This record gives sequence, C-alpha cells and structure tokens, in this order.
Amino acid sequence: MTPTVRLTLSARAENVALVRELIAAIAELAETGRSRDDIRAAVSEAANNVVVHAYAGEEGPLEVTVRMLHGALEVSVRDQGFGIVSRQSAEAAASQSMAERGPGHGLGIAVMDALADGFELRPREPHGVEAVLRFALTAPWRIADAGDELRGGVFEPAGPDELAVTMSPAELGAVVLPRLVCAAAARAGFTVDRMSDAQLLADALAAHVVPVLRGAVLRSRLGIGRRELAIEVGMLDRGGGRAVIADSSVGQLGLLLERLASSTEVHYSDRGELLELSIRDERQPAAPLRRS
Amino acid sequence: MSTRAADLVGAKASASRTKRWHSRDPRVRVALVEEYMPLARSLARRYERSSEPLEDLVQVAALGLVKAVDRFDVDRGVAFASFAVPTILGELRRYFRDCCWDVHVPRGTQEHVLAIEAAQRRLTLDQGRSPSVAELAQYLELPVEQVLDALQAAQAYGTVSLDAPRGTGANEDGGSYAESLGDIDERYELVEGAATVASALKHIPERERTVLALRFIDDLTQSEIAERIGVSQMHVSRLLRRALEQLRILVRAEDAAGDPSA
Repeated sequence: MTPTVRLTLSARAENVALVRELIAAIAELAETGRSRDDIRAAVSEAANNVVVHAYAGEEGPLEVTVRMLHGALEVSVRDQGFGIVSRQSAEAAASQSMAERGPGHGLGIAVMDALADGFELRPREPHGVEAVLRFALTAPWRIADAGDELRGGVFEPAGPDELAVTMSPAELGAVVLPRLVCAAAARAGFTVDRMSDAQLLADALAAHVVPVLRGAVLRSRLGIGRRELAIEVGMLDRGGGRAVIADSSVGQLGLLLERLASSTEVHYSDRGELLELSIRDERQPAAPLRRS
Repeated sequence: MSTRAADLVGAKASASRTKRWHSRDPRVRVALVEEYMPLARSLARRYERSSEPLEDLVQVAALGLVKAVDRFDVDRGVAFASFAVPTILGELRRYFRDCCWDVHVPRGTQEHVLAIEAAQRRLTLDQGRSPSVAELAQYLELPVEQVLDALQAAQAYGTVSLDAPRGTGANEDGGSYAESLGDIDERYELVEGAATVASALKHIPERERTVLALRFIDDLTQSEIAERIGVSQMHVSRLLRRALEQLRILVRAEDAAGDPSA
C-alpha cells in the first residue's frame, strides 16, 4: 500500500499554515527536482484556492491527501464546495489552454502549473473541486510501504478549531505529529517554551503509540484552544492508552507524557481505545509587548 | 576465534577477559566491529537526509563504532550495545553539525535563527516569560511561518554559534555547565526509577542529562535553563529532544537485548 497522510480541517485562512507544515514535514522525506519552498508554495496555492473560492464565506472542509507513490510525491487538495468560481476554474482548467484562462484565478493555476511537475484541477461529483499536484522524485522514498490502506471517516474534525490527521504507516506519525503540534501550539498562543514542551510530548506520543495500535493506521485529532491543545490518538489495543503513558517513563524523571501533559484521559469505544492528552500554557498574564 | 565478541563483553566479564580487553587484542576489535556493524548501519539509516548518501553516513557510524570499541570499559558492567549506541549517534550528530548546516538550511533561515535567538532573550527579559511565536514574529516583523521554520531548522541542525556557550571565552569552553551543575548526579540519585531507564540515563552525555534534570527534576522552563547554563532556548530545546530520543533508542535496545544480568 502507498504510504499516505490525510489531513482534514476547516477551510479557513489560518489553517493554510497547518497544511504548509504538513507538506514541509513530508517534503523533508522526499528528494525531488523542486525545492521544498516550491512544493510548499504550490500546495499553499491550492489550499488558499479552497479557502477563498470553495464555500463563499461559509464553513466547509479542506482535505489534503499526501501519497508517497513510487516515483512521485502526490498531493491532492479537495473541497466539497458549491463555489461557482472554483467550479468554473476547474472546468475551465480542464478545457482551456493556459493562454485562454483569464488573469484572475488563472494566476493561482499558473503558479501551481509552474511549481509542480504535474498538475490537474478537476471537478468532483457531486460537488467540489480537487487539485492534484505531483512532484517527481529523483531518488526513491526511504520509508516502508503502508500496511493498511487509509480509509476516511473514523476521525473527522468536529469544529473549525480542530484538525484530523490519519497516517499509514503509523511510523509517519514521528514526522508529522511534532510538526503539526508545533504549528497548532503557535496558533494557540503558546510561549516558545511551552510549544517546545508540546513538541517533546508529540515526539514521545508518536514513538510510544506505534506498538499498541490496532492495525497500521494512526489517527489523530488536534483541538486548538486558547493557550490549550488537545491531542487525541487511536485506535489502540485494550490497555493501550495506559501502556503509552507507562512506556514514556524516563526513570527517575517520571512518566514523560504525564510530566508534559496537563491532563491525560483514555476513552473507550468498540473500535478501540483513544488516548487524549491536553497541554496548557499556564503562564502569567503578559505585560504589553513593546518594541525597542 | 571461538569466543563470540558478545560473550566477551557481557556484563560479568571475567578478570582474564578484562585483561584481554585492555590489551586491545586486535582480533577482538575486529570481531566486535564486525558483529556490531549492522547496529551502526541501522543507526545511520535513522539519520538519512536526502542529500547525504547512506554509505557516507554508514562510514560515519562505523567510525563511531570503532571509537566505542576503543573507549569501552568492560569494568563498568554494562552491555557493549548500550555503550555503543550513544557513541555512534554522537558521531552522526557531530557529522551533521559540522558539515551540513550550510548545505541544508537556506541562508535567510540561518539569519532568522540568529535574530530569533536575540529577540527571544530580549523579550524574555522584558516580559519575564518566553515570548509566543506570534510575539516573536511581530517583534521581528517576520511572518509567523518563517519564525516557525527557523525554530524548526535551528532544532534539526546545530550551528557553531548556537552550540558555543554564551558569554564564555574560548579558554573556558564548557566551564559554564560544570560550574552551575555540580550536584546534578546527586539529585538523580535522590529519586528512584525503572532499572532499564536508569541505566540508559547513564549513557546520555552529561550535558543532556543536566538539561533533563533541570527540566524535570528542578522543573525549570527551557528559557530558565537557557539562562542558567548560558545557551539559547533553541539549544536547550534541541538538547532535550536529542536526549529523550537517545533514551528511547537505548531503552528499546536494552529491552531487545534482554536483561544481561538475568
């Protein structure tokens, strides 16, 4: 199976940064003819396109799927919008040559076209648009194939300040989770100190969750609050949640996950266990920022 | 030779074996290097970066393995693998630190790292706590993303300037750690823990152990640790991440090897 990461979040401008962080993390695993900045810029363009055009100011999902294919990094950016503009763009892109496209939304298309080795924009049925960007590899991936195929559905973001990310193989969590958690912590207004703690927590979580996962797919959900993050991972074997915490022992220093998290909870469902950690930044109220 | 190298370096080495070890019997060295080459190779694989050919990294790891063989003290009663892993990892990290910053990190990002380091110190002093990413971005008039990028880059690759303790001359290099932290080992001994992790902790370099203790025994923030030992917060963050990763690798290696005293 193709190693795959899927990120689902609300189509909002501030979420594009999270998409970029995911792409940055994966791009570090890929050797392509394109610079990492180019890859990020191309994918940002696609995500921005969804934010601006897909839902006409309403909330709606933005779904980014990264596939580590033989020979290419493929990024698909999808919406489920009814946006007339986006749909027209897609239809136009499918039927017209570059020269025929107008200047307005044609610019984003030109950028994606220029930065990716392959680019397609296509309407989805029953509604929405999918942009597919391909970046050719100059050397093979150095990661193992995924054991299980990714299927959507189990974890979806429940609100505008949540994101869901699904990874197969689960080992990709070590690459993806710390990066997303840092970006989420930055957005939650964490101090750099506490953001670094959140990163250490994500490192430990990604390392210790793999042996107790049910299957090869790691699902995670991040909730972004004000100076607070919730990080949920699953689906775990019975007893898996407690095992993850216990395995994070740093001997005399205690259980790392307990030391770093503000709270830890295990939720049970018929599909398996979920471990939810929260981390808060309980700093003193800030003095007003002054410039020198 | 009929004796497997592993038997030779088992936890309870006999006096004659120890003697033979210290004689640096070349056959023993060769056998050890051969036996542990797969370990070196697998550690090298962990550090694969797109532009570093794996074979180069395996060479670096092999060098670390040879150093580990030469420095191993059988009288310490620890398994050779537990000693070799941090030595090999140290060699790989030094390689990245010394060779690869310029190759991997765009110049703009390097400059941002230095600017962020200064801004963090300044804002931490002003506010009595470390700044948020947004505050740093505002202060430096940079997009939040570029600040995040630079923070990530600073973590992945050290720089000479970030690694050198601040405010000490070249002659006093390293002194700042030792001075402020003489009693760390004592504090470690005050609390009890799982045997595997406890023995793994012994193999973490002193600097990293110190930072771990300051963070998790003394409960200081990363900025407070940075201030205390005279380096940047980014450096503290990198040391913590590195130390915890090493611990995980060591514990896994020891678990996989089983309890040597059993």
